[in-house]
Amino acid sequence: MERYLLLILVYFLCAFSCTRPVPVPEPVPPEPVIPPEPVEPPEPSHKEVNLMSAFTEDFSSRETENFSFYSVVPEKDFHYYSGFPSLTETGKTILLLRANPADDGGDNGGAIISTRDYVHYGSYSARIRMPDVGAVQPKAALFADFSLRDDDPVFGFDEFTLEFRVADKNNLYSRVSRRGPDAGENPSVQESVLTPSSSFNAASKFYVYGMDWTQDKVTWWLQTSSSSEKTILYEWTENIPSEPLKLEFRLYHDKANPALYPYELEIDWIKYTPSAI
Amino acid sequence: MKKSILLLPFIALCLASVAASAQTDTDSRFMRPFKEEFNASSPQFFSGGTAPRIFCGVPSFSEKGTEVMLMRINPSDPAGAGRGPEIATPKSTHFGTYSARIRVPDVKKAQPNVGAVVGYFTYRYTRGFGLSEIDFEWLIADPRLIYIGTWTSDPNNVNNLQRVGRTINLATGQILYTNYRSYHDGNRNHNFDSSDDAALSPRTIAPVDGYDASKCFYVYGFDWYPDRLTWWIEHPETQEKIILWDYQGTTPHFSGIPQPPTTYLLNFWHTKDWSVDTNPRSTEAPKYPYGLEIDWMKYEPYDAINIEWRENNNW
Repeated sequence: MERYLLLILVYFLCAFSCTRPVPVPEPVPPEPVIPPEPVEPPEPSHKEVNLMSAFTEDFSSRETENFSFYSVVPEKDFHYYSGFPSLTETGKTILLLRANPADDGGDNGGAIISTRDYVHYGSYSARIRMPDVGAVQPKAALFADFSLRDDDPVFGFDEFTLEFRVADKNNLYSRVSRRGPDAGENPSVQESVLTPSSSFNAASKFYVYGMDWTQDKVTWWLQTSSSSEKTILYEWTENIPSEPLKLEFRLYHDKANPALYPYELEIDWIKYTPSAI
Repeated sequence: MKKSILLLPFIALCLASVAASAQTDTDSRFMRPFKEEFNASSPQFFSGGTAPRIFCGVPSFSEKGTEVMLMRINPSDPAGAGRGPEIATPKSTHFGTYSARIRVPDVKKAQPNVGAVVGYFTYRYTRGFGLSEIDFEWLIADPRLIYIGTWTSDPNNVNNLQRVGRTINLATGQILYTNYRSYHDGNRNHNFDSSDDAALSPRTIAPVDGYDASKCFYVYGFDWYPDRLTWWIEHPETQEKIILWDYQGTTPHFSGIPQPPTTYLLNFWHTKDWSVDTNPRSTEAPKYPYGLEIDWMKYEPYDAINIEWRENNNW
């Protein structure tokens, strides 16, 4: 009897051992190693640039302290002549800018002078004479832009310009362009025609043109005589750029109706007076 | 004896130098040899030009490192030779070699019908001797063409003119014509006799590839002798002298080679009645103050010939 009981016990032991395997604990996957989030530098709240001090560039010598001249191939570039005698006003030394009929065209495809560093709120002025192309090429698509401008990967593109359409010597044009940092985004552009007076002719003599840039306003103005009295041409009060820009002057054509001769534009001087803020 | 032999070369040298100095022209009425580089703010050997028409010692608009004289025509200039910007030597010049490095303005696209002349030349009328003029001229409406020639006159009447001339398209090497005319028969053009080698040499001219007087600087010159006048250009790459006209001819009434002293000049002027041979409409007044560039001008007088000529002509 005991023997039977023992056999039954062995049977049950074997039966249980086959049907109910001893549960093996599941392997615990290792904790994933999460790399630390890259620590992005905080977006700068301001452009970290060098700001220029006040200057008056009178272009009295062949080199300039305050401006750079843009050239693709400097040894074959015939756009810029600083320290050149004025072609129209005896005794003056000027910066002569020459259009080049072979230029690619567009505002990046002609003569470009730009301040070596950045400028900010303040007053800008220049004494300029346009070439008179009215008789030889009245439909020339030749442009001269006196601008504050910068294209920054973080802060986007800002430009406010006093534009001369050289063949249209009786009018001036203002342009404000802004675009966010996304390069695909179209800039918002606002343009206006400015007619200083019925007798205004940008090719007849030198005029002093200016821009005042404050936190809440950009003002374009013109000095028509030797007195310091300014004629306000236009005021812009919306969405004023607050970051430093560069002061530039560009002379370029549209390839659809390019300059047919290297017309000469004269700049007597360019002045920058930063505001106190 | 040995000492004397040693001294002989020295004595010969001294004699040669005395002989040479005897041939040096010291007449203060005449320019000495010069090369005007136009490197200063006003010319050293010329007068007559001031801003805003002439600018000296300015950088070239077409060649880095080259200082030039810029000469600008003014749209309001009246038509006529010498009524635009002009420079001239303050004293006389005479037989010698004249040369200059010049680039004329490129106006072909801006104003293809412009009537404007660049003149590189000599000119003076002296009563009793007549006109003494030798020309290189370009009508800038077609800067492939070169006009060369002389003007002389009745010794006592500058309006009675005589001309020998040649016109060349140097880009193709074509001699358009070589002819003469004078007051003796109503200023009608005549071709030289085809057998007249003295007047028609050279009969062919090798083209200068791409020649266009407005595209770059070229060196032009002429050698003026009492019985021979040779106009030439330097090839821009080889600097070889290419003879454009080697004139030793004559015509039924005049020789065509100026004899009396003259003045050395360069000018830029509007013509309303002389169109370039390739474009009969090219007589418009300039519509923009186009600029001409001159790198240098040179004069090398033939002193012995000049001294002899003045002695023979009681000048």
